[in-house]
Amino acid sequence: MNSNSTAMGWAALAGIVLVAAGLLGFLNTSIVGEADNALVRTGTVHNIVHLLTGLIALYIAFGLKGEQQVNAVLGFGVLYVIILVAVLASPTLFGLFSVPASAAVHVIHAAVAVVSLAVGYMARGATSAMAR
Amino acid sequence: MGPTGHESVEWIAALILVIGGAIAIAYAFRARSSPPGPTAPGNTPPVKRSLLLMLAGLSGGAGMIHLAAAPGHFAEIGDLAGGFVAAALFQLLWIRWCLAGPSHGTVAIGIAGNLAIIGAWAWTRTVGLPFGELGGVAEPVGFPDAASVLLEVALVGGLLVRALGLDRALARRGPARTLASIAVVPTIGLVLVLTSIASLAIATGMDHGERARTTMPAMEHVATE
Repeated sequence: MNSNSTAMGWAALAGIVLVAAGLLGFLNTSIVGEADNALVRTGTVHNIVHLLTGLIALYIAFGLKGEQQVNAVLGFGVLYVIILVAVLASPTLFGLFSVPASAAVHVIHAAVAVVSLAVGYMARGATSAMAR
Repeated sequence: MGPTGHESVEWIAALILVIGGAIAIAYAFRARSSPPGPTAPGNTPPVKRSLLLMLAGLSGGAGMIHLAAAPGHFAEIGDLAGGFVAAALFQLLWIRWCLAGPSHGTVAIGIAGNLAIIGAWAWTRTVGLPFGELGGVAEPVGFPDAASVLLEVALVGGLLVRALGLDRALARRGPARTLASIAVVPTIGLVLVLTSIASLAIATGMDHGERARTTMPAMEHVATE
């Protein structure tokens, strides 16, 4: 597996997980949603954020190639750093989320941010080395 | 499921992503230290292309918020709400000119048009419209209009970068091309998120400051009903 396929694989995994979380949240299932017994409690706004960012990740995985894909994975990491900081600063995102973000949600945001930045950075290093 | 069990399962969901991420990092690290494989060649777009994509995204987001706000305002202020439709059409049609590679004229029109829209917003939020049902009454700032103005201010800033030729100056520096390419995803991502949340706020009737401030926490419940 080369660096680009790792970046693609990670973007695909993150995209599938986030889109699934967003869609399941709208169905308000026992897995994701506003129900008290949901695995990950989210509201409409939170579901929209998951769904949209998941679609972006899927576009990065399957719509981009080469350096553009690697740069986009890095950019996705930056996007999630912003989301992580905003939700850490205000767990209800200044009143927009009906359910305050839990510690596990923060871990999910942090994982997507850190892994995207790390995978993108290392894939970029490999791509640059090859270009030289 | 009790609170402890509930929290445990939340953590399992987070752990799946953490473990998957750790595996991805390990693979990336191994691939980095091994001889280069059949990696796709460099295809980072020029600074100008990345900047245009971001500007188009910002204009599209602001246009969509104006479009979403128009129907409610027709009921509120009558024909004056045509301004929302005009602003939306201007911002959405401007995307086409922008992506085609904007001339100096297109950039100037973009700056002037968006500054006029920002000015009209500032007027209604400080002095109030000079006529109509809400004449002389300063409207409160709500989330959707604040989001739209934020996108327009960023758009005018980006257009000034283009007008002053700063993008061409930056393009001569090595990392600028990469940094501009990286910046596209967070910019478009934030535009999509802000536009969607603003449209949801408008759809649920929370588009004006005072109402929004008092009822925003319940917005998601309203939206799901």
